Amino acid sequence: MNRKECLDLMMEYFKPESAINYLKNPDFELKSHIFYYRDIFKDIEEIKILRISSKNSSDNIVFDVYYVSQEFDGLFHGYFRIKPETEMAEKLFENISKVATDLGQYFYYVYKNSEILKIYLISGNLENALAHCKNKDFQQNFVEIKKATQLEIAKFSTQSLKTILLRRELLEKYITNFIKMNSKCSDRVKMFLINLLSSKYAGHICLIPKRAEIKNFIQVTTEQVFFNDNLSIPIYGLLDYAVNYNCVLFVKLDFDFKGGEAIGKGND
Amino acid sequence: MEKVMIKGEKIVISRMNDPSQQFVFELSYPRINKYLYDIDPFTFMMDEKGKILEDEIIFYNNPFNDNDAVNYKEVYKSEKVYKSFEININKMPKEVQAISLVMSVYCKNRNKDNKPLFVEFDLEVINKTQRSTLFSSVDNFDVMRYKTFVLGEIYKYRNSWKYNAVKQEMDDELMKVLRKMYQIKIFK
Repeated sequence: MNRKECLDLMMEYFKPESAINYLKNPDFELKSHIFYYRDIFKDIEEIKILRISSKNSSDNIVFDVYYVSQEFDGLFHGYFRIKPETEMAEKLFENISKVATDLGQYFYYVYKNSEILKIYLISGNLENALAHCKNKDFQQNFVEIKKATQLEIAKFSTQSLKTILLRRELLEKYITNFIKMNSKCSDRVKMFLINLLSSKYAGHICLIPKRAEIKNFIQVTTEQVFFNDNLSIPIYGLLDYAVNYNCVLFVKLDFDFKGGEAIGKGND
Repeated sequence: MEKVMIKGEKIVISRMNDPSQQFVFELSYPRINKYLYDIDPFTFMMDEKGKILEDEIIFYNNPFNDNDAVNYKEVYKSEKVYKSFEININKMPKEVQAISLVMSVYCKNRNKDNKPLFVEFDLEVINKTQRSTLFSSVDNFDVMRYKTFVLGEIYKYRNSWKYNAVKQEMDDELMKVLRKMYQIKIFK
């Protein structure tokens, strides 16, 4: 299913309602991009703009879309934050990003990454979607990661840990340098960086340098984001777990230094 | 009295057979919280054709290389920031012909606030073996405007290692400056 077909199908099952008086007939196309909202809300820090609910009220999928007016050079000029309001909505967005700069692109991304939404849009039946959903439960993996990370931290004295970790208050600088010095980041990586900068996760991640002797970490290249070379661990599920269980995750930014003009690149 | 380097000045820092081949390049600059800015020094070790190995670019995210030729350290104090490279020329890979010392300037409000913000930063180069200051330099540039400052380069010249105080501030981002100035090629 391509993006347009997916969004058309979404409109059959979901009803977006504006939370702003003069924002009429919201959609996932023209009014999906952040540029549409930028000028309207430039002086507001954060505002709820949409409530999206399942047309079949018994399915009880309800989530809100907020516009956040922050800017970050090279990454975003405002972004959307999705907040699930019901348990069913929580399940729909489990293990996936809840921030985006284009709602149309975002809902296609949700479709591709949420087994529940995929089945729901095809069968039109939430019970069916939940019954057939093959979403793996990663809770055990997250518990093990938390334990392994805590054991690693315990190996260091406070002083030596301080010399290993990069400075938390300089997170924005580290991300700016990553964007400017490297080749262009993939949309997936950009989405992850927006998440890192959001207030929700900022207190639960800690950047470490490339050669830090820490084995459990999220690696960020310009192409991909993964935990310990394991692409199957859902990064956003892991970040949410870190927030809910108040733990820290280490993140390594992998520089390729291919920024600037595309000349003089080496291949071997 | 220690030598103070001026723009474009060159100095021999070591002969090939000198026993003292360890140097500390220490930069310091004031910490002003009102404008959040920071200066990140990098060393790029390059061969005669400008080839640079990714792992041998030393900075905060990669503070040392495999053979320990360059080690980076930083200390943030309440009033001042100290960032230093300890360079051991004896351990330098043979193919390295020059080491460029470049600083990337981060400024959070660069696009919003156009008022200039001049920051003075000091460089002190110490011969670690002799425990003496080889030279120093003081520079002052607008961190709101300039994104890169090429501090200098250490390079092989006949049977010596020399330092050239380039001291050039640039509007472009660091990687663009390096590609223009040295025609560098980065390899994995």
